[in-house]
Amino acid sequence: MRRSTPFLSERLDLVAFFAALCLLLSTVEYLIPKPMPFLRLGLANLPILLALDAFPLPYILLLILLKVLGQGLVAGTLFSYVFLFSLAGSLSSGLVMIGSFRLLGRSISLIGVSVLGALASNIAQLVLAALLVFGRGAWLMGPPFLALGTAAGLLVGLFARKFAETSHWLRLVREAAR
Amino acid sequence: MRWRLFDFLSLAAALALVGLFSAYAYQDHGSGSQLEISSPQGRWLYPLDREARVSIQGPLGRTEVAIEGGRARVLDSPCPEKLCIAAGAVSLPGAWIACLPNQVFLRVLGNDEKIDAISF
Amino acid sequence: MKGGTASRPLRLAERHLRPEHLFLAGLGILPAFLFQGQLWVRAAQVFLFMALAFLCGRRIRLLPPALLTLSIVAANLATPYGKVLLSVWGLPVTLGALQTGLLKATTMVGLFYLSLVTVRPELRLPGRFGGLLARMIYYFELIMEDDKRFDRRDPFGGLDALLIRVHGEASKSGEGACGSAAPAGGRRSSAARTTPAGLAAMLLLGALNWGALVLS
Repeated sequence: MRRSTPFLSERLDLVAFFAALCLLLSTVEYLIPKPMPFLRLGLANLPILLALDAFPLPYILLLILLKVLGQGLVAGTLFSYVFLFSLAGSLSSGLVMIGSFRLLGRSISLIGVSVLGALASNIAQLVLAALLVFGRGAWLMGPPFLALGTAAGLLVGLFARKFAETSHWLRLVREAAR
Repeated sequence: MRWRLFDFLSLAAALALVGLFSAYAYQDHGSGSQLEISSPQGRWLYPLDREARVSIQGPLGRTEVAIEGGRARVLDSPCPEKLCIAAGAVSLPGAWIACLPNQVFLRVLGNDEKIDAISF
Repeated sequence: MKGGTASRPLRLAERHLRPEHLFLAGLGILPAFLFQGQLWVRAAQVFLFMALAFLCGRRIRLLPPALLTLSIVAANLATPYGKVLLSVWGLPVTLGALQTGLLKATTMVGLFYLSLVTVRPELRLPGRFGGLLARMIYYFELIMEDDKRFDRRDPFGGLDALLIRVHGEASKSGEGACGSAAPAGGRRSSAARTTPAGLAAMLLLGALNWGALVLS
């Protein structure tokens, strides 16, 4: 698709591109008004879902790392708790998504993967919030938080599945990244 | 798009989790066990599951209260008879200790108050 | 993500400080904030960081941190501790719980604004990973510049076309992958050097925060 540069292999370059997509989506998510800044919709997980099928494992992990650091850098939140939550959420959802995708094979599609990933991310962030910030009061906010996150995960998963099946671009990427 | 087995299972698991969580989070736990200390100066609340030393100022001086191992007792008090210290430790809802001379009153809060009557 | 960058004339940090130095300065101030026990000093620090972030061109919105503080304090008040100050609808507001809540809230909000000041998007990490990060940011900006309207009626096709378009753009320009790739039509370029004024500002802020810590 594009010739590889002396510095970055084509695969790595594609990872950077996917990470840029993650950044774009988190910007979009940021623009959506939310009652509580904590509620995360996980739109930025979409590129990761698409990448599950296209890249080998180490590259997916790299993508997740780039996504988290990139968000922290561009938003300027690298220092703060926000970054910690983002890291915990992305790592846990990333691992769950990779695990479920690889282990369950044909019995699961991107829909289920996304739902599980969202669940993992929200639980991790909830636990962190209870420990670091809210104390036991966090459990009161838990259920709506989880419900919303699951709904968002479902929608993102549906979109990802449909897109993965119909996209020309993704097909080109898969060939390039082999 | 056909849904696969674990797509359904994942969603079901997520919804089940939300349901369980709601049931847990929104039930009334009872206030947990709390120690309430009252005096003419005001009111204090302390959870019994956290170690603490509290010093309450009364007309005679300071009454020292210790919370440890899930129980509360009076460590020291400037009253003449020291009945409050002799009363030992309390942990059950409804139990209380009073230092009348220094006007300090301890009471364990909770839902099922087992001790209703004052007995001498 | 609460901070944004705006093209305001006030962009002091960029003109006077290298991003790496600013980052180190921030790390240096960090402990002096985290270990500060006095609530009113912490609050002052939080406002200081907010003001600094504003001076560095970040858009500051007051409502989100205020709401966040409120919710953190409220959540912490749910576990009472210490002297009862007042009762709101039968629920006791205790001093200890209030203090814990305010402490956690100031930590959260303060760290956030300190981070906004300290972490500039121009910050480049060294090595191959830094190069990757730079490449990602390059693509990010490329995507943002794509101005074809997004077709609502066919989001899948529209997205597909957009991606092919942008990726094609990148191929054509064959953009430089020499070390840290900065976009050709880059935004404002950050200062290559730290000016004496910048250095003085860093030292002053460090002294201010550490002084507050030592004196309390």
